[in-house]
Amino acid sequence: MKPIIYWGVRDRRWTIFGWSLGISLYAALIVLVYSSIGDQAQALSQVTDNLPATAKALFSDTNDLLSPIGYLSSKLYYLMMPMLFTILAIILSSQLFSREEQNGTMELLLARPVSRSKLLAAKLISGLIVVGIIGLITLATTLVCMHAINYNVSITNVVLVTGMSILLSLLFGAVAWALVGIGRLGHRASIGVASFVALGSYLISSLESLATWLEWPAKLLPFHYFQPSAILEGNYNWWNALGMLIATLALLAIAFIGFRRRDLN
Amino acid sequence: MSIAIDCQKLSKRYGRGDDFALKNLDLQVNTGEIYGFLGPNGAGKSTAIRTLLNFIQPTSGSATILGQNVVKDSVKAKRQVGYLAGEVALYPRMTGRQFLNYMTDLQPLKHPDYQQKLVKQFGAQLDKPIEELSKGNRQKIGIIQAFMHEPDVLILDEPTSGLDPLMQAAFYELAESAKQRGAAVFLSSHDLTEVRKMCDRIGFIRGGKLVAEKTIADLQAVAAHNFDITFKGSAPLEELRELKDAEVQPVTDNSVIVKLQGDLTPLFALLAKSSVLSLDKQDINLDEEFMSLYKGPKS
Repeated sequence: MKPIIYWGVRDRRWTIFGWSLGISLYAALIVLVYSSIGDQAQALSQVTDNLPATAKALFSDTNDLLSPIGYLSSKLYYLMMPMLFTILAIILSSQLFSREEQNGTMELLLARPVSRSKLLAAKLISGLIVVGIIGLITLATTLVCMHAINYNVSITNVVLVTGMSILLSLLFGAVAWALVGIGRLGHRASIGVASFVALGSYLISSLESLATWLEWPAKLLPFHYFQPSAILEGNYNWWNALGMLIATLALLAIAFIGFRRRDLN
Repeated sequence: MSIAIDCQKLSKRYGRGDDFALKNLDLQVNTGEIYGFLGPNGAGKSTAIRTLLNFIQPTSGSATILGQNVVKDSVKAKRQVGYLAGEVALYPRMTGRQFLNYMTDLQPLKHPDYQQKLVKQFGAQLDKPIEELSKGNRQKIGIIQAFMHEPDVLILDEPTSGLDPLMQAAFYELAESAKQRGAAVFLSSHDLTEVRKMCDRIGFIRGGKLVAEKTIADLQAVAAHNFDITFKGSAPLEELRELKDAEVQPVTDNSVIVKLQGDLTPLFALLAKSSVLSLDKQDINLDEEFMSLYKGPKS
């Protein structure tokens, strides 16, 4: 497995560099900008308080958009961070798994004494390492910037919310892995369906507070259980995280079972 | 000599349709043998190869490689297998050296020097990214990765595709040396000359079924012999045409080409009574035998 993991990560060194740079710069910008609006937060709050609930719900899970926690949640963790990592996780499932199958190079690996389970596990670990490195660089950048401007939010909670953003993205990534693992849909369709599920989940969950009929379907979707402001405040129900982890593992199990039994395309 | 590849009623059907890509394939390849697998496009050659490598799973039947079931003991079976795909797909951004190192990490070499020997033998370019190599040069790397760990079973799909004649000759030599050390070589090909030159036995597949299996000696025995005969006077066309299984093609008034299958005695008896200036025997042409099996009715 080690060589497959090594090459899986090595081949993605530019992906790691580019994504780390992009997400870190974005996070740094968001955090550093707060130093210039923090003093005017109270005045600005009066403006944002007048925004319709619909608009607020699209950007945050809290009504307080300009407090340190509300700002961080609305600008970084409610949408952008999980979405960027979701895109990354879905792209990685495509690059590491389905594209290799499509190009025929997977046959080269499976012609060696490597089981399908080990191959898939190695590919998955490569993807986790890539996401992990980018996540750590992003987290480190965010913490350094917060320290630089004395941002008043618990470091532990920032670590936890970053971890939860990544867990949520891995859950959507696992949808892509499961679809590709089963192999019934084509490569592009699998990626498309996973992206659609992620985006749809976000939209339904962000609008559930406005339409009562969306509350029930929203509860079936992972975004409903991702509440960055609650994590930053330290009052998050961590059973939700456990649920997401179990769902992720279940989807990956489907990917493993499906891939072991199916024909290579 | 023992059985290296054994297919028992191996069948493969894609989807839920009634058409089988492979139907009840019974086939054995022995150790120390080169077996050619021939058939037109879509006949089921690649399906058979992909099933043996467990890329696709059989609908029914079974297959073993050196006694290991290709589905249940796939990993064990592949420890002794070298494989070359028809359209060799390599990692385009890796250099040839990086690629071979990657494959070596997954399946260690028995003799590290052997890889170097193959690289020299084929003149493979290892320091350029694979995407910059020509098809022939990529094929060389494909061949090296299949042979470098000296497997006991080689499964090769169109192995000489894209190689120049010199490299084809190097490949024949390589396959022969694998055979000499006791390996079983199972190769599919469209190149009849290549198959005739290399293989000990040939299986013909058509419509997913093995329609014939012959040794080269079998084929030669039934193949037509061509004789280019020049007579002192006019050629005895009528008498020649009366010979059993003879085809007579006049070239000039006193010269003919006689194509004869089976017993040659009646021809020579006739020639003994005639005044013959020259008699040339042309090489046996197995292509016609191959073509008859290729074109035969779908069974």
